[in-house]
Amino acid sequence: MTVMDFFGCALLAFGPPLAMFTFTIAIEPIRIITLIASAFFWLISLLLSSIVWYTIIPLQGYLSIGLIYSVFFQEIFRFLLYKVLRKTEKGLEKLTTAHVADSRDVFAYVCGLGFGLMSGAFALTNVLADAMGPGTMGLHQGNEYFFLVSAATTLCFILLHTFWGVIFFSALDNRNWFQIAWVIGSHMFASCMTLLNSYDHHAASLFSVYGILLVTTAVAFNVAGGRVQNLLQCFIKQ
Amino acid sequence: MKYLKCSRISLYILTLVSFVAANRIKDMLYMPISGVAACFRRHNGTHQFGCSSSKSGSIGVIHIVENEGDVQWLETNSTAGPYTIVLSFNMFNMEILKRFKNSNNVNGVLLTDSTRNSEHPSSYSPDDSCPNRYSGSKLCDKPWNPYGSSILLEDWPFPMFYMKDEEALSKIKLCYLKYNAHNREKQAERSLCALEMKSFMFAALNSESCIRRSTYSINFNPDVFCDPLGDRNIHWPVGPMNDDVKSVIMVIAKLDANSLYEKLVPGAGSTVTGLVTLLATAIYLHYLNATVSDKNIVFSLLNGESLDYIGSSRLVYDLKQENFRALGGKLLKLDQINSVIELGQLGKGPLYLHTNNFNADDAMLSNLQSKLSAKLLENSNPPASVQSFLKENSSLPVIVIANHGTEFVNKYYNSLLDDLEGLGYSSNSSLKDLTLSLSRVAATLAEELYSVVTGTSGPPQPNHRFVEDLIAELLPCYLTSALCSLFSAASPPGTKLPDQLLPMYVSVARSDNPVTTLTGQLLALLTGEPQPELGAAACSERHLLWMAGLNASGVCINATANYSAAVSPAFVIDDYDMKSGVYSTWTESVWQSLGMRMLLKPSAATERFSLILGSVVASVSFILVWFVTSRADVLFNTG
Repeated sequence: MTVMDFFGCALLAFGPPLAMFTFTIAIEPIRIITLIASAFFWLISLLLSSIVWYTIIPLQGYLSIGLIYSVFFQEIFRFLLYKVLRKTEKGLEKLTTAHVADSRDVFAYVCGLGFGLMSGAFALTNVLADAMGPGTMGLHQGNEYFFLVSAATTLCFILLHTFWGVIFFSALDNRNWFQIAWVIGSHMFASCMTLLNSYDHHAASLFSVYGILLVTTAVAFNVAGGRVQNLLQCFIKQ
Repeated sequence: MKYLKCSRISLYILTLVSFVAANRIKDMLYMPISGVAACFRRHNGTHQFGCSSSKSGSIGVIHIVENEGDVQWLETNSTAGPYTIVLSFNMFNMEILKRFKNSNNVNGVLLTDSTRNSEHPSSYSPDDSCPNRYSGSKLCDKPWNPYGSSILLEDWPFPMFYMKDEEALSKIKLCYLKYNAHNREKQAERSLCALEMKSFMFAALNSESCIRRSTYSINFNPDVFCDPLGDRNIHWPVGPMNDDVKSVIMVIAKLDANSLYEKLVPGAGSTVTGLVTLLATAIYLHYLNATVSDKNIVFSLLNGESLDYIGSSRLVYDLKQENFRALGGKLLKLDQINSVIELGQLGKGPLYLHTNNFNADDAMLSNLQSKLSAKLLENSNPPASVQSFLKENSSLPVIVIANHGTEFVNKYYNSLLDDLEGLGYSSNSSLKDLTLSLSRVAATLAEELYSVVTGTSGPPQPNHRFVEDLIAELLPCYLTSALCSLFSAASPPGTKLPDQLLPMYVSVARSDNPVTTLTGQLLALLTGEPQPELGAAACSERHLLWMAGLNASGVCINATANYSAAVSPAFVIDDYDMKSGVYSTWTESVWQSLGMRMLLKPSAATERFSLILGSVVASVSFILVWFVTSRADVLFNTG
């Protein structure tokens, strides 16, 4: 019976990223390569976080401290990824017909989605594995919506990573320190808000992370050259 | 470990729930319940008996049954099935279990025994009203075991567990009250507290097919589905078996008991009383130093008797095949057996002698009758090991000494309640009166046998005090804990004995039963010849027994007590027809794990909601992303 739970949560968390992958990434091989490279960068940041967690034993008891250095590691690797991409974009152009240097926002988006997909996979896989089992949350603590809340939060973070990627890369190009601060600050804030889940404040945590997603989406839309009047136009245009 | 570490780190980034108390989400979803005993599956040649869960575990919503109304509600008004029934002994009977079976709405039965209310029910015996009904020498015409419910002899479609854990029971009750008990008409609309029982049995159908399926030649790495039940019989001849011995009196008792749940087989009233009396008789006779001429006495403890007389039928089969050489290598033949005396269920109260083929004026019989002030029941056939002898030789004189007449006194025959309390004692009360009644039987029988083999009127120096002390030491080993001085003395030095009651269940033939080993060693120690000049190394060199001894310093014993196989002839004879019903064909299924855990079973509504939400979000996002991509040039002014 809980197979339904499993598929529901999997579709909720990974349905939208799958749609984005199908229509925006899979159409060009170079984007797939970049996506995988960026996912790999996220993995290295995870590796460093886990090394720190594993070696500094006194800090293992404090979840929030682990969370803070893990966010910093991710942002450092986002920066490194930016550096690598800028260094290689001339070389990449030789491999493909696509104009990497001319479509920097597209590649920032691809890198962001790569980050998001890998973090989402790591966040939800264990939860999904247990969603299959016969039981649901609530015997000791939490409630039966635990799996849905987890999936929704994962989806939010995948999208957040995507848009943070867009904002961060363009902000580094333009030396826009305010936007960089927004990316790091909102990443930290959103991650900290998920700590509320341990106190069963699922609604507060969900609303705050989706609130940040809304603002971040708007900023990323703006950074990518989108305008509100264009938004209206695309409904009018046939 | 690596996997766990990864999961932890990833959850730092996306912390969903505090991991202070538990490491895995699994730990928060389930509450394992330990200290449970499971009902398992057994087969005979034609049927299967017992219980099994489904392969992945049987899940049922908890329903506590305390009265008739709860059973009726399950049958008529329940909506959120299947259920797992939680009940105590007052509702655990054949009629109610059959109703559960017929309702097709039950996925498990948990029998609980509250320690707070430790009073035993007035009676509970899962065995047949005629134990071993189909393997006796005659048809059973009256119920020997009137309390027998035959729960053991039924194939249950759901798993059954037993639990005696106050704390776990209160947790189950709390969970039941919190999620299930209120607003029972609308149970199906919410998450419900449920129990998952895992006791999947690999074997099915009957012994014949499960053994055939286990055949080793089919594939290289064979799967075994069931094992024959059996163990070892223990024998001890009073005098050496030489050519002068013309006839033999056999004194026998059974060594095993049975119960519905694995490991919980105390067998106090049904087995231990007779077993201890036999040991005391043998040891006392050894103490009296009877010299044997042409008439010998052989003491035999027979195993697997609760399951269609496995041990005795094998013994008789070996005797008939002239293949029984457990007594010092000397062949014993069936026609050498002069008579058989069985020590059945014993205890306080009046004694009965169930006899067959004995002349009423037989000296030994009349002496026994008068000295034990027992009631004589001629041509009485209680379900006992002598049945196997009578089956082969219907004119063999046999006596069964028991504390029951035509109906068992024991109200808990072959059940998990057949323990010290079932005998009417609490765990710390004195066993004085039981000791006295058993030693009276042992001393009387030993002295009577002494006079029969020596041809004198009795032992010159009887010592009843010796027998009483012996039984007072023996009883706690079998009724309270195996960690007792006699068992320690009978084990190799340094052995750590468990501080618990050893199960009397015969179990599968390929593993040795601890009770059989300890009893055999004990008999060897107390009837064998100590060899004080031999050390541990020299002792094992000569294939003698090295054990701790009564003063725990180590002693080498040259014993005449010996084992013989107690595996049914059905598994020895080539191409034996399992359906013929001649010999015991019991096998026990193999299982992988037995366990139980509590969980919250999600309501169908929540599951539907998450599937619908996931599908809608995924489809909408496909449309939206397609729309944005197709309008990207307009949206981002790139066109």
